[in-house]
Amino acid sequence: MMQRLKRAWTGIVAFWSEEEPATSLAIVRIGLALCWLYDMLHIYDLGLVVPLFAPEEVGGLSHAYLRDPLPLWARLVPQGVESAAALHGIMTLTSLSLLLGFFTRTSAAVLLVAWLQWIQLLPTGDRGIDQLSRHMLVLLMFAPSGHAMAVDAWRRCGSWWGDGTPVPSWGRKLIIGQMVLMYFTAGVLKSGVTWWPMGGYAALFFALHDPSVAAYDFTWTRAQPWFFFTQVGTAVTVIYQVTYPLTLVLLLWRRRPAWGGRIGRFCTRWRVEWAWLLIGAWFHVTLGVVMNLGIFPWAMLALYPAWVAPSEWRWLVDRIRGQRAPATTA
Amino acid sequence: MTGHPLWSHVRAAFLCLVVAGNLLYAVPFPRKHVEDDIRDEWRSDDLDMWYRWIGGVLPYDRPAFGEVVIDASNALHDLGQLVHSPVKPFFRTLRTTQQWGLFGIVAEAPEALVVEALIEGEWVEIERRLHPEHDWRDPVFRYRRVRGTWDTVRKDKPAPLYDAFCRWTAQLAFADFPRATRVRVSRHRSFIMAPWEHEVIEPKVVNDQEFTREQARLWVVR
Repeated sequence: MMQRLKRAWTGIVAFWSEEEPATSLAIVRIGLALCWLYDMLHIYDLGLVVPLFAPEEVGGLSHAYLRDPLPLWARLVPQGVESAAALHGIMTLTSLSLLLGFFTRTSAAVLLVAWLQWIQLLPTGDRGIDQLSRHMLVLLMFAPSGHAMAVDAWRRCGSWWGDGTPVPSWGRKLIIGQMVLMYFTAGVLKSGVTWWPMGGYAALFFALHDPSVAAYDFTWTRAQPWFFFTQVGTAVTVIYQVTYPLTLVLLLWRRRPAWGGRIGRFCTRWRVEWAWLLIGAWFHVTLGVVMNLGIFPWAMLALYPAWVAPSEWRWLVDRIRGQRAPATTA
Repeated sequence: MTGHPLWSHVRAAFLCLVVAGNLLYAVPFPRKHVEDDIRDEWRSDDLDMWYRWIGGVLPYDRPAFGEVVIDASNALHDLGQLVHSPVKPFFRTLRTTQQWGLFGIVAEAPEALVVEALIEGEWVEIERRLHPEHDWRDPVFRYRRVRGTWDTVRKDKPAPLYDAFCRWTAQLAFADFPRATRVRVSRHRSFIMAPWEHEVIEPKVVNDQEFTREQARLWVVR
């Protein structure tokens, strides 16, 4: 028994100690930072810095001074137009430095702290993607995403691309885990009856009729065959989200080909997990077009490169350059 | 990236704890305890529907089924409080979760933001979400963080910052329409019917607030 436990623990330690170049992690970092930077610049462009970052007394929407206890930012800095500009400025600059990979981990930490202060000022402005973003910032505080495609990489080895030195791969694994958990819980928590057969799979139809989130007038989806298409979209959304954990089984079979038998070999050969990724990407791009969900679809898509191992990026680049190198997957 | 031989073990243990903590927090335990005074009406429509579907194979009548579900829900809530307690401080500090109810319940009676201005004695609609012409400052109102201050999933209660939002919107309208003497902000609730439903329910105006130029300048401590 002890021997088996010891062997299992050795396997777990080996799994979390695996190393690879930081390419995938860096691409995720760049994608997320682009979304956050865009969001901050969009706020500035809409003239919303004071409304979203300042209390009501000076033209904002926040009840910061009525909160008990006062948010740290409100205790440290007298609240006004200047404090709003300062907090927005900190978030903009740290998003930019994260994008560039300049003091990457410190930037992630400062952005996280500033973000937490902001949502204490304006809790109702916080959406699901903001919560996911803060999870990712915690990860970027510890995972070495600045070892590639970063100013930090340039300072370390003289190349912005980095020198390919392997770094721990746990960051990429945790991102994959986070995606699986997010999609799965999003599927099982669809408690509204309209997501299910007894509600006629009408959830997407109703969502498209909600003027607060719909990007266009979709009243025409009441007619056939459009309503049927929304039903298909609803059913596919639930199915692909609820079954998302199967991707972990597929990844396990990739690592342990003998465990999956013929089915496992088939799935590994044809990379069946990409079915979930492609449906997810289609789902997010569609949402990005038909609904006003801000950075949500794009920040979710920014996580997808975590599914591609650094060796596969290398293989892809070589193919684009016309060189054929053996593809290895992780 | 190698260090002390113990380091890889410490890191692995820490990462296992991280994964376990996040998995624990993902378990969707009921968030609220169902109090005695609301047991009769608690989710009665949902319970009716479920009873219609599965009541035939259950050894309970409808009232007993409701009692069993509520008792189970309360027991799960208490268990959830216990299970979540070790990791709750982390999630509370980060103000995040691992329960992602993305559009878990889709509104069947959604609300459209409507802003009107009284100009030369006549009410003029200047903004209505998705209206092709009444689109004053529409990009601002559809921005998700602003939407969070006026939109809500609760049926009879506006979002917590709704009053501040209305006053701020009125200030903007008075600035952009110098001839306006009053501004009205409201939400128009429409009742969406699925294609197989043919009932027509008139839209309902909810949470309307009206401001004069002076009232829009005031902020009130609640």
